[in-house]
Amino acid sequence: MRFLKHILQLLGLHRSWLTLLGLGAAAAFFWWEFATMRADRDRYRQWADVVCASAGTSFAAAPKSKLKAGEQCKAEVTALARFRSDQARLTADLLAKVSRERDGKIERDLAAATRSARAAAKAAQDMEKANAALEGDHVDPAWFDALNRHAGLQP
Amino acid sequence: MWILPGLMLSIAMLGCSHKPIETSPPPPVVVEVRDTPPADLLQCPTRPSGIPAGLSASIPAPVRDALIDLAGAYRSAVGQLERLINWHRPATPCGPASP
Repeated sequence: MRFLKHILQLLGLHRSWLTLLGLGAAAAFFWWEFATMRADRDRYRQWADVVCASAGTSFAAAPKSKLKAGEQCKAEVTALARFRSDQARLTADLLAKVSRERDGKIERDLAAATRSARAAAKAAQDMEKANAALEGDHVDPAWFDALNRHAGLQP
Repeated sequence: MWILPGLMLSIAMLGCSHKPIETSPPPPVVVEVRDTPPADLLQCPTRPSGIPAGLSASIPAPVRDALIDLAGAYRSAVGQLERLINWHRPATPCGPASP
């Protein structure tokens, strides 16, 4: 208890010095905060300049422009992002459409090829039969008929 | 009596209206590339009427075999060509009508 009293007495004796020390510490703290904020601000501003230059514009408002600083840049970046997503969507839509068309084509072609192969096989079989039915080298109208059909000519 | 001031005010307020900011990106465009062959390559082949009906003849076996081979080759070539044309021009297909 006596020790605590002693300390309080000491603080009372050096009060002005201690106040000055406290003020100095507060000033140093604020100076450090401000310096950090200024460095951050400069870095972000530089970053904004780089982003806006990539988008083909500048962060600062153009002279004689009614827009605030950064407004044109924001609009450009937004438009670029929209352009990219729109382009990707249109491309995907077109690719899907072409793919669907191709699927339909393959299906139709396969059906047509199967049909004509079946008809060709039947005609070739008939031709073979007609050829086997001949006696000697004498060729009758049935053989010519089979030949025409084998060639797929008009009936 | 209030018409004229109202008109003037509305004209003055036009300047405050929000105009969209002009930007540089062009509208997105997609173009489908169609590699369609020339039109004369897409004409349906005309089939000849062949040997007239009711004829008889004397043809040696080697010639008959060659004729049969020629007929088969013609059929397969025409069939392949029609498939190719139908691939490029599906709207008006060539060849025998589908059953």
